[in-house]
Amino acid sequence: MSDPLTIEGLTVRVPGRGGKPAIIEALTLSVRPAEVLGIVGESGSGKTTLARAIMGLIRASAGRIAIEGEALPDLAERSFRRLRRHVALIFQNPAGSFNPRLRVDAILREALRGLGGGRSPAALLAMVGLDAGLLDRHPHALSGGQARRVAIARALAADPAVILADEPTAGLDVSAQGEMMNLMLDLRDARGTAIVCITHNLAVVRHCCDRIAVMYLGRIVETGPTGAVAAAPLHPYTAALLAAVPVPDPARRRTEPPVRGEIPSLFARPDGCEFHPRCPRTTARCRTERPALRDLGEGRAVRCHSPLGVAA
Amino acid sequence: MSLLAIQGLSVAYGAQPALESVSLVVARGEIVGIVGESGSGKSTLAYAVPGLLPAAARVTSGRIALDGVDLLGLDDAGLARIRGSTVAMVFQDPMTSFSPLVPVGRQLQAFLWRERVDARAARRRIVEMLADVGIADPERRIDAYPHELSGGMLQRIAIAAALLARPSLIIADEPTTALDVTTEAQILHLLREIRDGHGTAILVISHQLGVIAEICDRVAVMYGGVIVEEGPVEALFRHPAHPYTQALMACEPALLGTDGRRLPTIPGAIARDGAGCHFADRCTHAEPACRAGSPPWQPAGDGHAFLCRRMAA
Repeated sequence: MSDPLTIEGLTVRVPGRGGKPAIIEALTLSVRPAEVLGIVGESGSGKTTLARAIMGLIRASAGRIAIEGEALPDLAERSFRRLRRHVALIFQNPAGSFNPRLRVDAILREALRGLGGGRSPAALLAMVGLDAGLLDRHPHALSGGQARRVAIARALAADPAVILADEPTAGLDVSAQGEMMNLMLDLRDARGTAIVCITHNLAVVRHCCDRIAVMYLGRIVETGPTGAVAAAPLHPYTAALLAAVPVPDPARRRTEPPVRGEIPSLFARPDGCEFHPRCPRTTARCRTERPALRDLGEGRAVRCHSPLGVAA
Repeated sequence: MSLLAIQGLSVAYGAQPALESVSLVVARGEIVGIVGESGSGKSTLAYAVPGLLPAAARVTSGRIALDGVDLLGLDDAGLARIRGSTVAMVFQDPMTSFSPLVPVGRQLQAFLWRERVDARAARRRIVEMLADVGIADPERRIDAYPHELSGGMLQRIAIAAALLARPSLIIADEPTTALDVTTEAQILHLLREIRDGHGTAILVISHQLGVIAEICDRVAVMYGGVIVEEGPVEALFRHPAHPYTQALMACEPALLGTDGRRLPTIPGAIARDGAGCHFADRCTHAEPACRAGSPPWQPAGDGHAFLCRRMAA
């Protein structure tokens, strides 16, 4: 079985002052069948741009996207229509992504239009554990949790191979975070849908995802199985992100913030390794020579000259 | 004498109660956290102090004393004098705290109006304050527009604005929720430095236990408009006593390993009808008596107490 989504050498450039800097640079990534992949990074790392490029909401400058092994002929407008049937996007604020004038029934009918398959809005609601009684409601009459479920139901209309969730837990209480992630994991188990979870919430990613990809300035700097990455990160940036998660234990308070400074502007990419101005392990080589993504076996790869815990 | 003393404060939006007889004390230089889910009343409590509740809110009973002044007895002009000088706010989203049309330095000048300093002295004070909150190159940033700055920088500048009038209390409403984890850690560190350096008391509102544990001296857990547990952070996080606090801790993803798959949740939603404990419908320990009458406060030692009929301290 081929991977539901494969991205090769994807580059996205935007025009700006002083040229067209790359927001996503030669990014290669595949999502495996029924996999839950977490893409993490700070704001400005390019993770949301990646989602938008995958959905065809931003034009890519170069690269190739394939669905279930079949490459889209080009990245032109028309072929994205097919892609959108196979990759569903769940927005950060699902309740805000509904037309407030439409009832739930009409919202789901619109998503089902032209797809055939004979599925009904009530059947979609049942997949996310909601009662058909909600079909007559307008979005404002739904609770936050119900609105998130309806958004997932809408995403399921086309029976997608991949669900792309952009910050699915942002701003939610812990219990609501759990409900959202559990629902997506249930769908994965029941339907084999792969899930790509784009988020800066490492605590959730660490618990729910099979694999992690860490992004910095539009590139992947580390990927690997979640357990291995969380237990022994290879990239100093991954280590800093993990250390930054606030732990509800006053005995584990930090005396210093785990990383200084902020992610640089894409218009001023540092030379050499792009993380070197913030990295505690920077050497002369890091300032001049850009590291490549190196495969270290066991599904792990890192873009660093001297990865943590690896002998030089 | 405590800096802030809230006694038996009840607030309602129309017929819907938002706070029910809440009492909380903040000492000078103390960092106190209020943690709870959306709908718990934590923001209503924070906004009631500086008199910033929406027009639909009504204070039905209670007393708020700040530095000995009865805030609920003040008229609008009196409240305006207190805001900024004695109590300052830091809001959740720094992107919307500032006007997009005016350079940040000019916006910060407004916080110095009481001091009647001339423009050059004001600029010098603001540059110094920006440097104090960790803004690199403050001479240049002072003239920047908000869109030219990152969220983390803007939140630092919002904190600088709060500090300019040298308040005794800063109320920070979800100060890091809109920020990345890396920036969050830096802002929490900054808030602690401000307390240590200026002796400013800080009331932090958050839905994240991790944020509270990171910087607070004391914490109050709110549920359904009521404080259900209160105590020093070490004691409360070590031995959470209220079933709701225990459930929140059990849901905390930062405390879970990587082996699990499903995240724990607290089934049900905040509801507050009936006379009894508001958490009873979601509580695994509830018995009929919990729904019948108000739960009692139980001491758990060292200033740690909780509101529950069932659990033993």
